[in-house]
Amino acid sequence: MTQPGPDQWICVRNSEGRWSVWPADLPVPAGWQAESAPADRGACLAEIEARWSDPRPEALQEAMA
Amino acid sequence: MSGTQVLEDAGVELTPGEKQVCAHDQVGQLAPYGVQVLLLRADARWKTAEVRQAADAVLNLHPVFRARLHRLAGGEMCRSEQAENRIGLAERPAKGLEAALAGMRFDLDGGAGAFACVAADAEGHLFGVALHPAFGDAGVLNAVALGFAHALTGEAGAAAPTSAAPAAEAVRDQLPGWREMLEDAACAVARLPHRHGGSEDVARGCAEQGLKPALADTLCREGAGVEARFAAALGIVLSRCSGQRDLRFATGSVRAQAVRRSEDILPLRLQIDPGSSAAAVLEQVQAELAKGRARTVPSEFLVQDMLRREGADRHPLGAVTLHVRRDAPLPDGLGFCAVPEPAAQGELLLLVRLCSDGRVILRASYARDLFEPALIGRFLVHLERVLEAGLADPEQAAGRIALLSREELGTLSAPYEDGAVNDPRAVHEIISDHARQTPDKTALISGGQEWSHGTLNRRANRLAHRLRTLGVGAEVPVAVMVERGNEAVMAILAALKAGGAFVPIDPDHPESRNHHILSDAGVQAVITRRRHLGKLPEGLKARILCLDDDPGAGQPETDPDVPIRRDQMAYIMYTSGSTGKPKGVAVEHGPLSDHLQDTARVYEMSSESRELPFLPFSSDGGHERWMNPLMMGGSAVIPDGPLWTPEQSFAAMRKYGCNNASIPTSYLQQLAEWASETGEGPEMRLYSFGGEGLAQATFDLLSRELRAPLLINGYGPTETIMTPMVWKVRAGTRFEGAYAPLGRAVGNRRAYVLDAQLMPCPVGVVGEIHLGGEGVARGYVNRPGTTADRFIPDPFAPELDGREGARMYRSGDLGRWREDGTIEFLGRVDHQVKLNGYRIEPGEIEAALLQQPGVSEALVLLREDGGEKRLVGYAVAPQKVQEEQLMRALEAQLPRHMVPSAIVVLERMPTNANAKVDRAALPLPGVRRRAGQGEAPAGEAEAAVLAVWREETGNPDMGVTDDFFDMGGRSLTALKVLARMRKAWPGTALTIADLFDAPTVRALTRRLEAGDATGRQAIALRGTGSRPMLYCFPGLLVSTREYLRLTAYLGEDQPVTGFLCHSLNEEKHLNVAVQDVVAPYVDHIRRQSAGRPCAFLGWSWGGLLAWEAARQLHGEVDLRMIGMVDVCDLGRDFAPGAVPRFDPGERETLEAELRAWLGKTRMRAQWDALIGAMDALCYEQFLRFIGNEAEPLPFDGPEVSSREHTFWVLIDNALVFRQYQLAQLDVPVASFSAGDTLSRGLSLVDWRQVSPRAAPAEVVPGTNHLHIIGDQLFHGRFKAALERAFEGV
Repeated sequence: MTQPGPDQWICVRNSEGRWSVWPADLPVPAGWQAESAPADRGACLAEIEARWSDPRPEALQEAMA
Repeated sequence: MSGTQVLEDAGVELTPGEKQVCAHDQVGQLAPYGVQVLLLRADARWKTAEVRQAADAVLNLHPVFRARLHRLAGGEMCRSEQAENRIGLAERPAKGLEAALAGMRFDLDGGAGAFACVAADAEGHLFGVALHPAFGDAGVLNAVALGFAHALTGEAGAAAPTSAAPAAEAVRDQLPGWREMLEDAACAVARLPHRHGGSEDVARGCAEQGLKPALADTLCREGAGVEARFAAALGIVLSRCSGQRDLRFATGSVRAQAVRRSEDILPLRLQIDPGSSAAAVLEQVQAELAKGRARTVPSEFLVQDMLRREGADRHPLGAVTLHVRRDAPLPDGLGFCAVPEPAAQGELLLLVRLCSDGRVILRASYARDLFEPALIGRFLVHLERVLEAGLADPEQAAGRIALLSREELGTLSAPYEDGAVNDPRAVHEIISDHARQTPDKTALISGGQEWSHGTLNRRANRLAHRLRTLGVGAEVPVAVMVERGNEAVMAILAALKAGGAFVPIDPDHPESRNHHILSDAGVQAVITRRRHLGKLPEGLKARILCLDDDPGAGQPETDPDVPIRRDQMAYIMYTSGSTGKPKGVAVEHGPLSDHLQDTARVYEMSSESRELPFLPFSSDGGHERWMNPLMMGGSAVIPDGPLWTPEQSFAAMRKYGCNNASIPTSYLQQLAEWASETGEGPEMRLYSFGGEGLAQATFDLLSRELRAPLLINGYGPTETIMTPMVWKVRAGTRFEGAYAPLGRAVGNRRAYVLDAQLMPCPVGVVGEIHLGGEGVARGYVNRPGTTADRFIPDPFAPELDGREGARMYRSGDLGRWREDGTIEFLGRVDHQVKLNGYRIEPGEIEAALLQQPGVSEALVLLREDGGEKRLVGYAVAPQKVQEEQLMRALEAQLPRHMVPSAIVVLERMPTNANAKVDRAALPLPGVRRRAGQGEAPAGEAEAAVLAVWREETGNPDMGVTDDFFDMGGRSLTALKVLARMRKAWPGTALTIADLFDAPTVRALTRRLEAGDATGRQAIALRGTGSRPMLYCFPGLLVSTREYLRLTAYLGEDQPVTGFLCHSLNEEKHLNVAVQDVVAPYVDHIRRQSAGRPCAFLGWSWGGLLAWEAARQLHGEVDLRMIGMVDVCDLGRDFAPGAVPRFDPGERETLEAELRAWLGKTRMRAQWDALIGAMDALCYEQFLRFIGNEAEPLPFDGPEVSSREHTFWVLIDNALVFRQYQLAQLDVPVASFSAGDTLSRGLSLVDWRQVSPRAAPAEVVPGTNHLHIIGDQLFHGRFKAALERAFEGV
């Protein structure tokens, strides 16, 4: 249960700019966008580690800009 | 073995299934079989005479109406059919006919097994048949129904079924294949979740559901393949409910038309991966069903084979049984009013009936104490959903079929109801409001200082202005490294007022941890004290303010004008992960303020609230509990020292008039114990607690001793902000389960229990707790990958709440929904283990251990030392707590697969550097550890005895103070040891009783030397207790240790005496009478219990001894009950009058074999004596007995544990008991039969024949003659019977 069943995952991102991973074989939940090709979970998390550089929600980033 | 064996010209042998039904009937307990009822309705188009004629015709046609059973000498039954025996056709009123038929009783020995009648009412006619299940079942009644229809319509029907019994040839060849499946540890018996503490009682519940018409229609048209469809759906539901991917359940079958009973079950093994499509599961079922039916075996053989192993599953073929039955096709104007039902076997029987009118009815019959009725109702709904989904989209993955509807998920996951609208402002803004409204009201009390809201606000404002000058603003972390107290609270508020995020740091925590936090969080300012400056890392790039220097001096006292956004960071809290470095969890203002306002309403707080928060400031819960009262305009009393004694805590509560207290669960127990001892608990309004699982016993204690009407169990990972879930109850509430429920979500959140496919689990099914909604953290500081890993998209929020892009946090905690929608905690996901196909949560076992007296800590591990996996329990307890006691207690409480194979009692848990339990350092279980070598013998006698003990137990390290039984000594070893000791000390009357009383070399030697060996025949299994004595009479070749588990189960207050087995005495007296065997027992009972109440237990042949003792003691003791446990008579082997048969020449061969063997055996003299004591018939029976044995005659005697000795004792006892006649006695008898004994069709004594106060037997399924005495289900039933018997004593 620590590592959910399916082998293939994708990176997803919501409108606030928060990232996560989602099983590639399931429909992406409303409000989330696919951001990568399917890969194993570790690879997706590594990609997020590289791409999610600002932890602040997008609206806050804009307000503080 | 031939299919049909003719017995003594009287009839044919019964099938295993028929024998089993007869054995049930014999002991007065027909369940799980029921009288088989057929009720047909013919409409008014037919005349009464036509209906009568048709009924008569079918009675003539079908052999079942001419069949009889007869009991042969020795108890065995056989079946015959004779023309003159046909039953008549009766007339009965139509009203209540079905119930009347179901209530029919039949005399199996020589009586008819069927009843038939006709009836008439306004709508037409009824034809009813009742059948004893030993005579037939649905297969027979289907043939009867069709025969009746044909006779009525005049159509040419099929010829009468012939009288062939179901083929049983070569079944034994099939056993190995089945055994392979049943013994494969990977494949576990599938079950639905049991009710906590439930046991499989005889009472059954029933639930029924008709499938939706469209679905029913599709299924009815499917033809023969429809059974596989139901089996596939059942497999998927069971897999989802048990978490097992390799599982089995039973499938039933019955011949379409038969003359005799043909109903039986076979196991069906399925491997269901969550990714397998519904179509693939269906294909697998079809293949497995076909494979199984090609090698069919009477289920009795399989069950008997499996139950030989101790610890086998109670229902080795399946705890759930599926029968799919289709009504026979009837012509127009005829219909079924009632159809026969299959045997209600196992924990749950699912009968699918495809009716001739196109309806499909699911009917569940279940063990009532094991399951919540609501759970069974939902199970039927789940089945329907899976059936529908499989038909609609065969390619859908089995693991992705929704079992719960959106409405169900919405209700289960919903938070506490709360219609209020939250103040949009941030926490500190709401708090400072009170400084304007009630400036003089107390806000904080700590270290003897009392601050008003006004004071707190002014000081925080000044410091906040100072922080602004240092550049603190939105998203800037400010460390607050100040010990708990008024000033720490003030500093935190200042950081928030300046727009920053506070980072609490405990100055007393290890420096390495604190340095990591300071650099990881990227703090730009540190508020601390001068004395902690040395604890800061060198080169820290942050401005440092010391409270001792009054850093706010000269700054304005007014609220700084700093707007706060909801998505702005409020704090970073570092979690103490068990591995790796602490992770910083960032929380935003909006969710935080909402959480606190929501919580205040759940906690029913007001401006009068005065809280004593005991949680440390390094946990988020510690901050919730001061923020909450301050936001309400109330106050908090902040403990200044690190640890208060319970006395100090209660004194503070009283002195400051606290009404709320929030306390770590572990400390709460100390408080409650103190309150219990002193009666000094102050009256409070509310205690809240959390931090770890709360066991029932602790909850009861605090509920009783802490005088507060309201209790709240809070739960929550830091990642979901303080306490996202609470369980709020009135004091005195009871709960079922290992730990107190976590309750439900608070505020704008949802709590889900999801499986590995992220699918919601049905109520009762274990999954991982996920928390969704707005009340979750932003994520981990500097760890975007970890944040993405743990905070995942919430796929339910769009549908349930219309929120898109929402996240949920996977907690890593296991839980399950309870019936009331609250969630129960079961341990950590990464501690869950899999053993023999079962998913096991060690937390549940730990909770059971913690309930035992004296156990203060518990840990359960799956160990894999030397290749074999086993569960091992560790308990911290005083030395007097014995491992064996704990083991017995767990056996009485947990399902078999959850009982550890060993328990180790420790003085304390080994810990690692982080003060966490060091799992790797836990010792291996084994023979009991002692400090160094066993103690050396003192003197020759001890040395001699020790040498014998070491040799016989095979334990060379044994010392003179070690317990014989702890060191691996078993009953037979004990006998050998005693025999050798008696040789060395001739003339001593040493018995096994002495070894029980004095189980060490030293104690027993002392007894020997003092000449104290008692020669006693009785052992006090428990010598104390206020209830009347229970005397246990032994079966053949059993020692009294077999009764230890039962003794433990009966509890501290029940004294138990065990008698030594006559057959274990070494001096053999031939041809002793039962009367003489019991004489010493009777003497003992007379001395101990004359004129007083007591109870007997007789197991196996011990039942006859108990009966004889009762006869001899009649009127002398107040015998409240004799518990007869699986007492069989001699059966046909040695029954007087049972003449054996031999094939031509067989008798001579056997006699030659016997003579050849007698020439070899070292027990020649004993055998000669025994054979010499036999009469002619008995000798014939002996020869037959030898001939029936598969193994050659043993000649390894005369050692006590040898096979030959055992064989001799068996025959000797047969001679003793065949001469014994049960006398009539008026005593209460409660009898218990092992399911396996009935399944073998063995002849159990029907005590109702000899006592007017004997009850029908209770059947204990899933155990056999040998294991029943240690079986927990039996223990439960025996205890209940004993309690009834002792009522009013």
